[in-house]
Amino acid sequence: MPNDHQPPTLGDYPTYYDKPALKSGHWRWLIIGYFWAGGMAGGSYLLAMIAHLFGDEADRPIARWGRYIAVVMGAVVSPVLLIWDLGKPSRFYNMLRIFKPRSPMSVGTWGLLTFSFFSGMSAFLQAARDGLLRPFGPLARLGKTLPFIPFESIGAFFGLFMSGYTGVLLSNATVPLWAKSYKTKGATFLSSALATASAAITLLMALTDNETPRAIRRLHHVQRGAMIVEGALIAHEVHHLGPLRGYLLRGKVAPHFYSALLCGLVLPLLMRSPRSRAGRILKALLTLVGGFLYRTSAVMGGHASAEDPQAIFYHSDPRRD
Amino acid sequence: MQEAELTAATRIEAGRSYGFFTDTTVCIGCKACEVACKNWNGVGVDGLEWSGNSYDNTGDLGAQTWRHVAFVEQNKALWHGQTQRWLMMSDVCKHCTRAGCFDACPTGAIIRTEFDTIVVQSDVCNGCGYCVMACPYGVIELDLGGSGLAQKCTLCYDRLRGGLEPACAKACPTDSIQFGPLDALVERAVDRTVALRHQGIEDAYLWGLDEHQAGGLNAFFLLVDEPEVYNLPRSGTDPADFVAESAWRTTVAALLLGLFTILNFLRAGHDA
Ligand code: SF4
Ligand code: SF4
Repeated sequence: MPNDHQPPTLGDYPTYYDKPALKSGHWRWLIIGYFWAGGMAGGSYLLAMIAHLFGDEADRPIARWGRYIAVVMGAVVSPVLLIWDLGKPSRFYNMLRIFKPRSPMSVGTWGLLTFSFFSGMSAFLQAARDGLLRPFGPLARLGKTLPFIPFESIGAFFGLFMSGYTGVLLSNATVPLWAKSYKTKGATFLSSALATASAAITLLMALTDNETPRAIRRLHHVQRGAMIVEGALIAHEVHHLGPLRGYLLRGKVAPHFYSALLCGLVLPLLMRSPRSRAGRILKALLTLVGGFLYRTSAVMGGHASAEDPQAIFYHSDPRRD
Repeated sequence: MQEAELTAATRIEAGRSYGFFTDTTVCIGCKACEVACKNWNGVGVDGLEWSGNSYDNTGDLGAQTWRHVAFVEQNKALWHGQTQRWLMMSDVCKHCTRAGCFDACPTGAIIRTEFDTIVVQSDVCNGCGYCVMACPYGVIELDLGGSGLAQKCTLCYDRLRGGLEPACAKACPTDSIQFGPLDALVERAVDRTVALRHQGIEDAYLWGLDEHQAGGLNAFFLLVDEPEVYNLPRSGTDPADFVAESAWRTTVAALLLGLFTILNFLRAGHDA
C-alpha cells in the first residue's frame, strides 16, 4: 500500500477485485476510422489549397486529387462513420441544438459540418472544370465560373481543424493514456494527417497516371517533414507517459503500435522518393495503413489503461510527482 | 407539507444545493438502496450472475446500476487488536461541481438542475458516449443493450420536484445514506467523523469534499480505508478544464505545419 513518503507507482495500489474505476467508452473501429478519414480529408484540402495558391502548373494534380479526397473522406466517409456509431441517423441532429466551446465533441461537429460545405464546394468547382458535370448544363457553367480562392482560403482553416481537433477530442477525457498527452495529441494527429494526406494524393496521382515529377517531389517533401514531426512527437509522448507507456509498448496494443511506427514512419522514410510508380504506390499504401494503425494504438491503448485500476489510481494520485 | 420534511427533516426548495452523505460505517450491505432505486426509476435488471466477489453481484455503477453496494472483506491488523472486518459502501453518482460529463456533452442533454444536481435528459441524449469518457469516477454509461443512451443516477429529480427525498435515502434502514441540503450534510458529516475518531476509529475521514475531487462533490462519503479500497480515486478532474490549453497548442501546431507546407511549395522547382 502506498505511503506518504514514497511516491507510489503502478502496482502499489489496493484495488476493488481488480475492477476498473473508469468506463473506457465504446470507441472502436468506426471512430478510429473517422479519426483517420477526417484527418486525411483535412490535410488533403490544405494541400489542394496550397498547391493551387502557391504552386504552379505542375502542381495541378495535387490540387485536383486533394479536393476529391477531401470531399469523399470528409463530407461522405466521416459523417457516415460518425452517424453509424450513433446507431440512429436522426440522433445526429441533437448535436446541432447548441454550440458548446468547452465540449470538443460539439465544436468538432460544427467544424465537420463547415468543412463538409467547403470541401463540397471545392469538389464541385473541380468537377465542373474536369467536365464531370456536363450533363447538368447550367450547374456546370456556374461551377466553371466560380473561383476557388474565396472558398479555399477559408476552408483550409477548417481543413487544419479537421486534422487536429480529433487529438483534442481524444485527449480531453479521463482515460489515463489519453489524458496524459493532452498537450501534444492535437499536433501528433495533425502531422500524421498531413503525412497520410500527402500519401493519399500521391497514390491517386500514381493510380490515375496524372502525375508530374515536381508534384511527386513536393508531396514527398511535405510527407517527409510531417513524418519527422510525427515521429518526434510520438517519441516525446511515449517518454512523457512514464510508467503508463506500458499500455502502448507491452500487451495487446503493442503490435499495433510497433507496426504503426514501422509502416507509417520507418519504411516510408527509408524508401525516400521511389523512382518507380509501383514504389510510390507501395510507399503511399504503407503510410496510409500506418496512419490507421497509429490511431488504433492510441485509442485501444487508452482503453487498456482505463481497464486497469492501477493506471487510474496512479494517474489520479496527487502525490505522484 | 412535503413528505421530505417527515422522512428527511428537510424542505426541498429550488435554488439550494442538495446531495448525499453516505456514512459507510453504518452500512449493513442490505442493498435496499439498489432495489429502491431500480424500483422507482424503472432501471433494468442486472447482477444476476454470481461474481464470487463477496456479496457484490452488480459489480460497479453503470447504465443499470445507479446505486452500487461494494463489499470488501479484510484480514489485516486493525484497531483494538481486531484483524477482520467487512467494509460496505453504497456508491452513487457524485453530482460533481465541475462535472466532466456535463461539460463534455455536445447535445446539452446533461443539465444542472435547480437542486444543483446533474441529470441526463433522455430525449436529448444521442448516445455519442463522450460523457462516459469524461467522468472521472466511472459512473455514467451507455445502455448499449437497450436504448443506447447515457444513463446514471438523477438524484431522483422527479421525486425532489415532488417534495420527496430520493428513493435510496428513504429506503436505507440505517441512515447510511443521508439526503439533505449540502451545507447541513457537511456539518453533520464533520460531526460524525469527529465523533468516530473520539471513539477510536482514527482512520475515519470524509472523501469528496476537497476541491481536487472535481471541484467538490454533492455526493460524498465517510470512509475508513484508502479510497482505492472502495474503488475511488484520490482525485478527479474535469477534462474540460484542459480543453483551452489543448486547443491553443493544437492551433499553433496547425499554423506551423501549414506554413511548412506553404514553404515547400514556394521553393523553386529545382528538381523538376
Ligand atoms: S460522477 Fe461522473 S456522471 Fe456523476 S456528475 Fe460527476 S462526472 Fe457526471
Ligand atoms: S451520450 Fe448523451 S449525455 Fe453523453 S455526451 Fe453524448 S449526447 Fe451527451
